[in-house]
Amino acid sequence: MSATTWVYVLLGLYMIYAFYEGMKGYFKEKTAAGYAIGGRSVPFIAFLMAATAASFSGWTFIGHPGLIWRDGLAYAFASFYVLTIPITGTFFAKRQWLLGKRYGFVTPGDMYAYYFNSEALRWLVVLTAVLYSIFYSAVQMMAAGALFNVITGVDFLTGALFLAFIVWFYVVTGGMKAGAWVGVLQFVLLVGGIIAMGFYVIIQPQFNGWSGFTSVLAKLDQKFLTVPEVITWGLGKKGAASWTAVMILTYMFSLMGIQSSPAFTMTFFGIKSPKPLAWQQTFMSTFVVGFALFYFTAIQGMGAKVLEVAGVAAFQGLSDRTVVPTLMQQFLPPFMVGFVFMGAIAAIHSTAAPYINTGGSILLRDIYWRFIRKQEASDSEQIWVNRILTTVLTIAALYVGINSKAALVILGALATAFGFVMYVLLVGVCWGFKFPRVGAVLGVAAGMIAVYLTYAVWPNPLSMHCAFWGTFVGLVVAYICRGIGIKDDQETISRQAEIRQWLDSVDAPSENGKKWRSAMKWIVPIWYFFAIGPACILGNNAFSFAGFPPLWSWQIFWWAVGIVMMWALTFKAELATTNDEQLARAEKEKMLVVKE
Amino acid sequence: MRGALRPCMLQTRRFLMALEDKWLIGIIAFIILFTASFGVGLWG
Repeated sequence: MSATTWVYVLLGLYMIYAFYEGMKGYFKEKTAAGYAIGGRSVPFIAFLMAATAASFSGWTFIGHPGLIWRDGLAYAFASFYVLTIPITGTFFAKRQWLLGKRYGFVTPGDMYAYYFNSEALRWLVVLTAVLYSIFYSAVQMMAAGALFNVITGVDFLTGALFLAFIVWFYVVTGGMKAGAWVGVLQFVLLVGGIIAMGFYVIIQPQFNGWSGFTSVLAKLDQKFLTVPEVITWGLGKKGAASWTAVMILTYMFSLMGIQSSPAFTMTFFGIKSPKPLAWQQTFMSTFVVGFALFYFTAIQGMGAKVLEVAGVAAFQGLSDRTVVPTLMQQFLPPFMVGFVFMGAIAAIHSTAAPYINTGGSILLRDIYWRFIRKQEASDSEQIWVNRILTTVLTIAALYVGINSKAALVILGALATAFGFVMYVLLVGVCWGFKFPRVGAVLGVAAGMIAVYLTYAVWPNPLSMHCAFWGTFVGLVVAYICRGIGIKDDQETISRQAEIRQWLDSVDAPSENGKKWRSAMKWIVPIWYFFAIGPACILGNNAFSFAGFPPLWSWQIFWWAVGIVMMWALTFKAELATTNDEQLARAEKEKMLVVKE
Repeated sequence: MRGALRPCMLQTRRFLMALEDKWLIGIIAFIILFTASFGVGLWG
């Protein structure tokens, strides 16, 4: 069978499974929370795999190897997002789940508005969530259309609409739990696809084996093999960005914004118990996806570069978007074209699904249900309006994607940075960082403005990513409000005190856990400093093993250290583990402040 | 004799308890072996 036939066969099987899960949810989910957050009962394995697949988008599959081809190994540091994306979950996920369970929060707006006693925050979070949903999903859907076009020849628009229809259908029928179950299959396809693609590249006879590959690699221009400098001084200039050490670090901050985004807060509310968290963060994301990225994605990107330099005809005139499709067409046997294509579609759908799903739910709960229907709408009405809003968001994403390429590029990239600004609120809610309500509102608003300015007007001042500037400005503003003596009213103070007291008692670490936590306060910053921070420039010529160039060896070494660090943080420091007593208390000690 | 061995036994027990997380050791061993597989010419 031809490659195109395999694409259609595998796509057909995938559709049958996705639609089955969607219809199952359609007949099963009868409550508003059941549809929106899986009735807080998304099981262990579904969360483990779906949350991992959702964290890594179509960008990982197509854009990431493309940029390694374009910018070399300095960009390959971005693979460290296998650790920096879930580390946000390590810091905040369990405590968000506990809060959701006790107070009945359905949306992140519920949580932030209650904690800081401010409805203005709800609106800011809704704005973030909607921007995130539309633009992040639009980027995904357009990537799907483009890939479908290259592989099957179907025109871009038809492909984009067709593939968007699939994801829309299972999300709109089944809600969050259906998305999670489809996510299980998507995770397998995503990781399998990346590994298979890298494997078929490295076994190509043109390279003369690994030793032939690395000897050509060593002769490449140094700009593809080294980090250029630690920092570029000066206010940002357009086109001046390069992968300096501090850019690598702050770009990783931006990706830390994925699991602090409103969509992930809802996903954390949705799980049955926090048991899968430590495993998702340490094992699935850092180890399994890391394995795929640090070896096989890098092989794809650097392989394409080696072939380009060697003058192979098919690899001349590439762009970062065409690297992966070209590798697929050149090197994969027909069945594997279908398989790897499905990996890309899985990566794209697994990210688009939770964003349109939670975006719809947030609009429903935070605006329609709360302000238009004054908290008086039946479950069935809520589910149907949720479906309509999800559909509206999908159409908006498609419209933006098709009509406004320039806005898409800007706002798609801003989405994760906006997510990182949510750190300002999360450190307050989850860990009791103290600043007044006004500080929280102004901080988030100022952070969002700072993100925009340091992205579009003065890009990357000091060669640092807008995500850093956004959260930095946000925290500074929040603390200035505290510093100048703004005080909260008594109701807010006692509300926050009650939450702090409960959280600290239900989630207190053991003696052993405390020791690990105090050690990790040093170890984590040291890891950041050496692995992806200013000291990563030492990797340019520190050491080399098994033929890997020095910078690649540095990345593999610190990734392995990073797995141990994540294990220590999640399991030993007990940031992501739970116990029977905690689960029992979360079940018993309810104090619902939000109606369903 | 028992008294002298006690700290040693405690240390051993602590070490063995740490091995509860055998999977982590397995993962690191896997990474080292997999990386080495490139160096020893397994990939041609």
